[in-house]
Order: sequence, then C-alpha cells, then structure tokens
Amino acid sequence: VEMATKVAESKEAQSLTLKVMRLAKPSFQVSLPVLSESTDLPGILPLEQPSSLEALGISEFLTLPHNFGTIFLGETFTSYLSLHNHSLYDVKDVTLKAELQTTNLKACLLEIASGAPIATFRSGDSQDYVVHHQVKESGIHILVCTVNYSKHDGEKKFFRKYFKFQVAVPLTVKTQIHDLQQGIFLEASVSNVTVPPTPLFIDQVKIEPLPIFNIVDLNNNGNALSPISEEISNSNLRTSMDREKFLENSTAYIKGGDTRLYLFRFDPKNPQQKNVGVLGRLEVSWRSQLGDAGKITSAPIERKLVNQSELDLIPKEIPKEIRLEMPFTLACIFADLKQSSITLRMS
Amino acid sequence: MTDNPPSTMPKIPPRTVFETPTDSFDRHHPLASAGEVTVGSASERGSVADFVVDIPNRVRLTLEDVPANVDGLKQLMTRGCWRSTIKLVDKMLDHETKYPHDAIALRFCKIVAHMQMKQYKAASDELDVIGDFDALKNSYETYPQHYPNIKGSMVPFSLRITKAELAYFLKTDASLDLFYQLLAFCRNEITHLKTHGHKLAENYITDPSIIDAVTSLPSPSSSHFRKSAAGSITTSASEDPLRGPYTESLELWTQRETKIIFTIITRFIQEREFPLAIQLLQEQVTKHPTDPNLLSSLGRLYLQMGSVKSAIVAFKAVETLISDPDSPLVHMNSGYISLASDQFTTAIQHFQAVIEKNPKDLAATNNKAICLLYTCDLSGAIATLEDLIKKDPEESLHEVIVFNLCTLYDLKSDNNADKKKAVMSVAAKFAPDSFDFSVLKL
Repeated sequence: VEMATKVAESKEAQSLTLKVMRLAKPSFQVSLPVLSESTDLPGILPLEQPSSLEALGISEFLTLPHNFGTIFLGETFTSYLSLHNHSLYDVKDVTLKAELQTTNLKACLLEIASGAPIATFRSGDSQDYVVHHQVKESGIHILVCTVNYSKHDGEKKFFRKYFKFQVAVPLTVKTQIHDLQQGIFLEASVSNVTVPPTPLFIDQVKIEPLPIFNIVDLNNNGNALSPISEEISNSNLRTSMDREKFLENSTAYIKGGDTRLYLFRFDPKNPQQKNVGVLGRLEVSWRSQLGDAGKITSAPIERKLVNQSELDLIPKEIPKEIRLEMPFTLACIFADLKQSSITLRMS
Repeated sequence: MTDNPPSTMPKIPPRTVFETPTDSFDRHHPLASAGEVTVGSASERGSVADFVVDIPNRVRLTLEDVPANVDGLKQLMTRGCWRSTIKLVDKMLDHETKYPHDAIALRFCKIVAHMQMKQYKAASDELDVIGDFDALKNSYETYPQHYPNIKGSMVPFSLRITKAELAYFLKTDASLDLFYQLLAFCRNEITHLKTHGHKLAENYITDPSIIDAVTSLPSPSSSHFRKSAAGSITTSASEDPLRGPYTESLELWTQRETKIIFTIITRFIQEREFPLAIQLLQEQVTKHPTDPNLLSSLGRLYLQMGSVKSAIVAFKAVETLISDPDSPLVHMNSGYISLASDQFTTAIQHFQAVIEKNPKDLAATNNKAICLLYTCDLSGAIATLEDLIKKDPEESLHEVIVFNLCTLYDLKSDNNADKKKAVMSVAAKFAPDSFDFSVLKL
C-alpha cells in the first residue's frame, strides 16, 4: 500500500502533498464463517460475507491489497499518484516528474513539464495519475517523484519523494538440447523460485524460433490432463461447457519451489539448414491473482554444433504405399558440402 | 545458404538466466494521457465527516432491552450483539433448565458468540464444560424421564464442526484430520440411511436436530425419533406430514457433508493450496452441475489463483444455466473477468448493472468502487463507499468495506484521521460486536 518515503523537506513548508500507492490487482476476500443450522438456536447466522453458499469462504467482495506485496521481473508495475493541495492558497506552475530508477536504467513514467505545467492548482484540489511500467530488471528499484511549483506569493518550491522496492526473479529456466536423428529437441525446465513461495499460474510457455525453424509443441497444449478433469468431462457439464477449453490450462500451475518440464521440437524448414548455433528464445508468461500478468524471455538458446559430415543423403519423397516385389521411386537429395566436385555412383 | 556459425563454439550454459532485451527508453513518455487524469472533488474544506452527519443515531441493544428468554436471545444474536448474548446465556444457565439438552443448546449460543468475537480460548473452555460429545451425560437415553424414545447425542452437529475448527485456531491440530473424520461419519450416516432408511416408521414426529447418531458405537442407533417434548423451551418438532423422516434425514446429512467439504475447501484457499481446493470444488460442481452459485464460486476460485481462461469457461457455463444474459449473477461474473483483463471501465459497467437491479447489493457497490480507483478516480471510489455506508449503515458495515474505504482515505491525504474516526463512530453504533476495528488502521 503506502510505500516507504523519504521526504526532502518538512511538510509544513509545502503546499502540495504527493501520495503514491501501488495498484496490484485486488483479490477476493476469503473468510471462514461461524456455522450453525436452521434448527439450532442461533438459526442460520447472519453471514459476514453474504453468499448463498454457507461455509464456502471465497466471497464476492474484492479487497484492496493489504501491503505492497512482491513484484516480479516481467510484471507490470502500476501505481496511483495523487497530488493534493492541502494549503489555503492556490499554487501555480506545477510540474511533476516520476521516474523509475535502477542501477542501470532510468525510465520516465510521467512528466508534466515546465513547457506545459498545471497553470493553477486550487486550494483543496487533487490531481491523480496512474502510471504503468513493465519491469525489465531485477533488484532494487526506486521511484523518484519530483514536484515543482510556485506559491501564491511567488516563492518557488520543490520536493522530491523516493519509493524503494525490490523486484525479484520469479522463474529460472534450464534448457537442454537433444540433437537426435528424429529431430532437434529442446527440454526446458521451468522452476518457481519465488521468495516467499508464491504459486504462479503459467499461461503459456512457447518458443520464438529463428525463422528457419518450425516449432512443434509436444506438451498436450501445454498441460497434462488431471484425472478430475477427465471425470468432469464425462458429466452433464460437458453439455454446457466446451470440453476442450475447460480442461485447457486447468493444471498449469507451479507452486513455490516446484518445477515443470516442457518439450519442444525444432523442425528445420529446409533439412539442409539445420546446423545453426542459435535456435531461438523461450518465452514464459504467467498470471497471478486476478490476472496480474508477467512475461519473461530467455537469452537466445544456443546449441553445440555437430561436426557435420561433408556428404549427406537426405530422402525427399517416398510413395505412401509400397507393394512387395514392385518397383517404386525414391527421391533423394545428395548434399555435397565439400568444396571439391565429386562423381556419384549408385549400387 | 547456411547461417554462419559463430567462430568460437560457445559452451552451452547449463542454466539460462533470464534477461530481457534492453529497450531504448522514450524519455518523454507521455503517460498523463486523457482519461488518466482526474481533478479531485472541489474544496476539501468544510465538514470532514459530512457523510456521517445524516446517519441516524442508534443505541446498541443490550441485555436489559430484551426478555430473559429464548426470544430475547434470538433478538440479540440476529443483531450481532455477542457480548450481551454471552451475558444472557450465563443468566439463563443460572436458573435450572428442565431439559438437559436445553442447557447444551444455550451453551452452543455462547460458543457461537465467542467464535464470532474470535475468543477462541473462551470457546474452547465452554466446550470443555460440555465435555465429551458422546458421553452418557450428553446423551438422550440417559434421561428417559424426559426423552422416552430417543437415543443419541444432544450436542448440535454444528458444534462438532466448530470443535474441529478450534483445533486449528488454537493450533492444537492444524491438520484436516478432524474434518475428514467428520466427513467419514456423515457419509456413513448417508449410506446407512440409504440402506435402511425405508424401514423408518412414518408415524413418528421427527425433529431433525436430534438426529445425531452416536459416533463410537458399532452400529449407529436408528431409532432417532421422538414425540415433541412438552415444556421444552428450545425444540419445535416439524410436523409436515408430506415429508417423511427418511427424506429429511437424508437431506440433512447430505447438507452437513457438503458443509464440511466447503469448510475444507475454504481452509485450502486460505493456505493458498489452490490445486487441492479446485479439485474438491470441481467434484462438488460435478455433483451439483445445475447450481449457478456453485459454478460462480469455482470461477472466482480460478481467478484468485490466476487462471483466467478456466474462469471464463466456468462463468460461461453459468450463463448457459441461467440463460438470462442480463441477470445480476452474470454481470458480476463478467465484471470480474473484465477486471482481470484490465478493462476497468467495462467492469464498472457490469457492476453498475447489478446495482441497478439490486440497489442493496453490497458486493457490487464495493467492487465498483475498487474499479473506480483503477480508472484513476479516487474521489469517485471514496464517494461510492461513503454513500453505501450512509444509505444502509445497518447492513453495510463489513470489515472488507471499511478496510477498502480506509485504504482509499490513506491515499487521498494525510489528514484523514477525522474521516476515519467518523467511520469508526458509525461502526461502533451499527456493526456487530465481532467487528475488527483494526481494519481502520488508525
């Protein structure tokens, strides 16, 4: 909620205040109601959270976050800024700048500059802003807000506020490449390394390959089907719900400390062109409470190049049906990667 | 034509550490675009506690205002006057109660009051006074002079659930074993009823609250019927001739089974064990596929966990069941999805649609206020909640609503103590005794 601040000047001297609050998504209020039956003396108790389902504590009420919470690399930092004139007089020429700083980068989130300031800011008025920024680095971030204005008597004032927060790394990925005859396989293990352990709902794991490759996703559309999902699919529910969509993504969930494995195959569009060092990038996107989204992209995935043989025979076309004792045509490509020319002979 | 491989073969790093491609930042990123800027409400001077001024005064109900009997007790409990409930029960227990089960029923009220006030040790002490639920002193058959034809425990079933919950609150047993034991017991009863139920005689009057089988006897007694005990202050036999004892019993035990499962699910949700909670709730949905409220809860649970796609499917099933695209439930669910998809204005429209149909819907108004904040309308959000409290102080003083309002006050300005104190005074008058004043963050 309210982030820790360091105010540059004492507040009494200032006419304006700036309040900042992180806007993580709200969540559903959860409670455990006290139970009683209708034939008991207390009767059905007035429930604290109105719900037609006594005892099921996931209510319909949304609640604002109780604290700043954690923010992960790849998520979007959203914040509410409220500038308020708490003095008795109007102020003039108000400028505001909000910047997000890390050791390496400075991102400007909001700027009301002196070129086009707020000309008059009346006593008692507020001016609100919502800023967004996708967090691209982990570690310490500082939101620096600078406000300049002129008091009614012409005195120029300024103040600066600092809000510090940590961005943690939520996931680590290990990749292993298996260069097999059947194809180039990529095994990716995605680990939830959040501290404190926070469950993450994996929306999608996909590969952005180099254009010379097609990707085959070997993961059942990204999920294993749980037995319960199977059971539900056989019930009446199937008539009112689209079966495929209901089962999709219902279990792609990584608890803090757990790891999930994913498998992909790279198919070179041109069989001759498969010997490259870089295959592409892995992209993982996830959701947490009420849809708060995050996405990270890996460094380019590299693989060790195999010593390629200088000559290669690649089958290109073969008939669908081959009958015994009847001749058939087999089309091949003979690749010669040597510089010198050679003569072919079949036997 | 092949790509040029790098001249040095890099060793495959065993771990791909995440880095994101660096962007060149647009230093003059204009984020204060139209729609994100609101000028706050006009002058903040003037009465800081405007909205509470019109709220009528109200004196809390106390012990002296109600008769010293069951009716009085019910009045206190309905209004959430738990402190007075405890005192009245003590007063009534001082007088000898003719029927032993009445004493237990009264103590049950006291335990409920303690639980509401989160006074878990006190609740546990009262349970100790009752003692072993299945002991002879707590069984009907020990008192044949009062209950000639009844067997079983006099302890209301809800107390068994409460006892299991207390083990968690007092940290004597954080596991769910007690709940699963109760669950097994319920299922046993249901199976027993289904096999032998048809044999139950029809000409007895039954009072379902007394159909509590003994837990540890090898064969649960099946003669749970009684004629109405004249003079008892608490029981009222149901005399509907159309409903046989079997149907009522079966319904009752099935409801209890469901209640226990819901309690287990809630516990999983509180501990963020979402896959387990989802699994159990999905099972319930399979059992009751035509319950739109149950399906909606499943949708909300999916959202809480982060699975927006599954939530959408669950809510679509609700729409199909209700087949009225304009129903409040459908709008609420659509509101949640819009919120999860960052479409805050659409979410507001949905919640507003609910409010128009049910002006007293607290959740819809609360949720609308929250969405207003996300559309950069802090003043609108505050006004919505203040309005809600002003219009209906009797019903609207839920902790979550007050917490949200006070969080908004904190964002609005540093001089919010007066406003919070005003809210506190309204809460002191209208909220139940169980209201947790720490949500005000004074």
